[in-house]
Amino acid sequence: MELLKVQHIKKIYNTRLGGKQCTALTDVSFEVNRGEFIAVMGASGSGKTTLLNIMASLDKPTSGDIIMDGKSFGTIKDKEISVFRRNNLGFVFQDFNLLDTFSVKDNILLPLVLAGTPVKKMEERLKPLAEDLAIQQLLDKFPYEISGGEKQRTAVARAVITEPKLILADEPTGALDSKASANLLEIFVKLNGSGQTILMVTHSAMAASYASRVLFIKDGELFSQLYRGESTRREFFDKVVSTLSVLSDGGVDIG
Amino acid sequence: MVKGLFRKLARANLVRNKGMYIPYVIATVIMSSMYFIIINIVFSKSISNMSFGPTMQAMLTFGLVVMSLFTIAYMLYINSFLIKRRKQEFGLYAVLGLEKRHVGKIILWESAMLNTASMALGFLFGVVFGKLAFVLLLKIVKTAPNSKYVLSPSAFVVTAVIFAGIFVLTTIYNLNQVRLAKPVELLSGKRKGEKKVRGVVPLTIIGLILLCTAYTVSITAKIPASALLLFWPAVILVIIATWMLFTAGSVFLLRALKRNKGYYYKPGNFIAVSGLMHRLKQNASGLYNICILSTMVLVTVSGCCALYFGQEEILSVQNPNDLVISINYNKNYAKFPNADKARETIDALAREHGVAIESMYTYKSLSDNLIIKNGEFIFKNKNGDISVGTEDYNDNYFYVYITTQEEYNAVTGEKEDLGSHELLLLTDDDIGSHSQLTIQGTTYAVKEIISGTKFTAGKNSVSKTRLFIVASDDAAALELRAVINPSAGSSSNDRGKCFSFTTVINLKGDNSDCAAYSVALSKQLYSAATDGLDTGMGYSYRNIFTNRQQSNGMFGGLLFLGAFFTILFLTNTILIIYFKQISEGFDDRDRFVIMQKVGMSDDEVKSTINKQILIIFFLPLATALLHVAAAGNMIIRLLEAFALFNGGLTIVCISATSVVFALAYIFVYRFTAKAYYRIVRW
Repeated sequence: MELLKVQHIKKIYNTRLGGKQCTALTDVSFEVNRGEFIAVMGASGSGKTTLLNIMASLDKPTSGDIIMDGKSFGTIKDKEISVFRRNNLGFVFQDFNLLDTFSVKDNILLPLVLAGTPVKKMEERLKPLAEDLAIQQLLDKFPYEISGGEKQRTAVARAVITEPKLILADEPTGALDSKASANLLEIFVKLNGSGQTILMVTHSAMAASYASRVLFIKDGELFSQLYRGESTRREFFDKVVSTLSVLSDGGVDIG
Repeated sequence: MVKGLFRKLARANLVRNKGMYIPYVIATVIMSSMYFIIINIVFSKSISNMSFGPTMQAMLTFGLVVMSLFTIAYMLYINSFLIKRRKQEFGLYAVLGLEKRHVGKIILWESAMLNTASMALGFLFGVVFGKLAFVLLLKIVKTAPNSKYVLSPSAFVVTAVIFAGIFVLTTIYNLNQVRLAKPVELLSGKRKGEKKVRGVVPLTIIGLILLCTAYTVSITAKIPASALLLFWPAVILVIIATWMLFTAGSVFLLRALKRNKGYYYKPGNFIAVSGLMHRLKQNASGLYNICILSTMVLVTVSGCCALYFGQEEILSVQNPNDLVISINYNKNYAKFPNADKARETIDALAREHGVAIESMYTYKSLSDNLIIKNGEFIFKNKNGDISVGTEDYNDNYFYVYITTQEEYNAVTGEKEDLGSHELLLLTDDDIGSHSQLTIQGTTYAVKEIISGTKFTAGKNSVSKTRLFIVASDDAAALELRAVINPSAGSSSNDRGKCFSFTTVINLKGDNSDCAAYSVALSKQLYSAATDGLDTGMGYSYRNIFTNRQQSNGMFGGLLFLGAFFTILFLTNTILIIYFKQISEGFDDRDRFVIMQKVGMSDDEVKSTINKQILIIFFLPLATALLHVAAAGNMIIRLLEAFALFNGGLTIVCISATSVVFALAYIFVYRFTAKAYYRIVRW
């Protein structure tokens, strides 16, 4: 069952003075099925982040379209786009993007508050989530008082509390140490196990090895993809690394 | 090392940070040129040659000293703010391999360039606008503009020294910042957690109590004396209370809002409350300073305006008649000695000075004082003291003049005939009705209490603090005087033991002519009236004309100083607010991006941040206006101590000042908001 269709996405940036053009994505198409955990890998400058921004509706493609549950992104009006984003997408970022003016609890509740959810319902949703993510002790602290791993778990809680159709994660382990990274990825796997669809952009083969499918992007095009199938994480990690070494001339950081 | 590298780097830095440094230079130029202008006036020969010149110059000097302290504090604060924003840059230098002494050299070059430029411009504008200010000052003090505007070399020196001092201090501070810091800290040291506010609840409660106390004191002040006494305590209470309420009270309120979940977890309130909490914690002391200084400016300027525009009333109250000369003798004369000669002198001098005598009369009297409280007369005891509280002494004090029926009839044209123990009381205050007066055991019959006679109602105003007692003849008057003040005559230089002769003259003519006439006449009338007598005991005189010149000088100078104070203060405030807005802008830009990612639309973000900025910006103004409104009554009472009894005028001045100030403040807001939006750039 497909949730999201990415169709022939092309993105060309104009440099500020309008002189040169820079092609970030030439032609990318793929589909995301419900309940999948996809990792997108590629070298710096391969267009990963551009792709993610377009999928997040934060940026618009030069041509091509994205269709989620039969609704084309191109047809959503500018005014409705933030509501659409709030209702359907959850975000996890490399640098957490928590608001330092809010406590951990309020950071998590932010999207629900914006959606006008009643207080009782918000708290009902928050409680089990905080327990699952082991942040129930931190709820009244502020972002500058907690560790990187805790911040990222908070960000995950904020992303899933709206029960979005798709979670988009942009290098979520980029600012974490290996232990916190592993912890976060376990959480992703657990979420995925309960039916949550996740798309994660990453640099790290270790992070990608947690996914059920890995897409490789090179120079703005989909280069290849790898299904995990029945293999263990260790085996899958080896496959990812070997694909990477084929993909690049050894120029990819394999984390 | 390439020659001139540091200079080039310094220049490049200034150009790159021009958004920060241009306002800084403008502010410094405004302040140094204002200094120059004022100091030039302080050193001006033509001002010190005026009658009130030295007083005004002393006042300006005092104002200058006060403002120097403020300006130094402000400049250091603003500088610390600027340098904090550039810490990362200095960290980068260290990483790139510049040693601290190299960075120090860059900083030295930067300050040298900044300061030379602002000093040069300051002098330029000081010279250009100095003339204007000088002419304006002459206009305000209403003096004939035959004075010449001369640039005083000492003004250049003093201004240069003061601002060089400020520059040295800021440079030392900046060098220290770089010297003490480690590069890693410099690179990442921009934001650390919020300040924790302790004792929110007690501070809020105490703050509220203090504020209410101060407001009550101000609103209930009834007489000038208590206003004078309680003004500074009330000011200090308000200052402390404002600090408590800004730092703790705001947090208290927002915390309460946060606890109310039904209110807090609504889209608009959610972001606004948290944002305000954060901003207030960061900015409480800055906002508090702006609020207190705004209040001070408002109170000072409205007070100065009321005094300046009400000075004619003050003059009238202080001078019921234009010119009064009292000549004292140590012998009792029945008639004014040398009356003809005196009259001759009066007329001759009038012709000489080109003034016309509107009216004139002379009477003799014995003077003393007493307290009349609720119609009850309180006399002096044997020691010559009146035993009442300070408040009564200030508030119910009467000057008593004992005169005779002959004098009364001559001045008023009445034909009064009094018995030996019969008195007339002349007053324009309400002293109750009395059919008789018992003084130290002696009882006198009060025939009539008369108001509106020439004795108490003069050309310019009605005197409420004088009581004239008319006795039947000289002997009765002298006896009465001995009864009223048992200690009278015990000291050899007691002027009150013999009749003094008071000449009251009202004049028509140009103020400066009348002033010259008054001064000349006072001396010559005394010598004429005591000519051939070896018994002169001196004279006292009072005239509205030299008073007017002095009050023009004093209140005009005050107004001038108030304007100067306001411009300096506004410049500093604008600068602080501008820099605050800019740093907020940088933080808000990050927040804005996050909120957008989380699912807020542009418009939502814009409106919520807009609202917060408005509240933060106008909180100090609103509080200042509230303080001023509460202080209104006290200001009116204080000005009564300066003999300004026109409360309406005071209220108009307070309102007008508040409106002008609020407009200037709004203008500043729009100007800084533009800079802010440019940074956040939506």
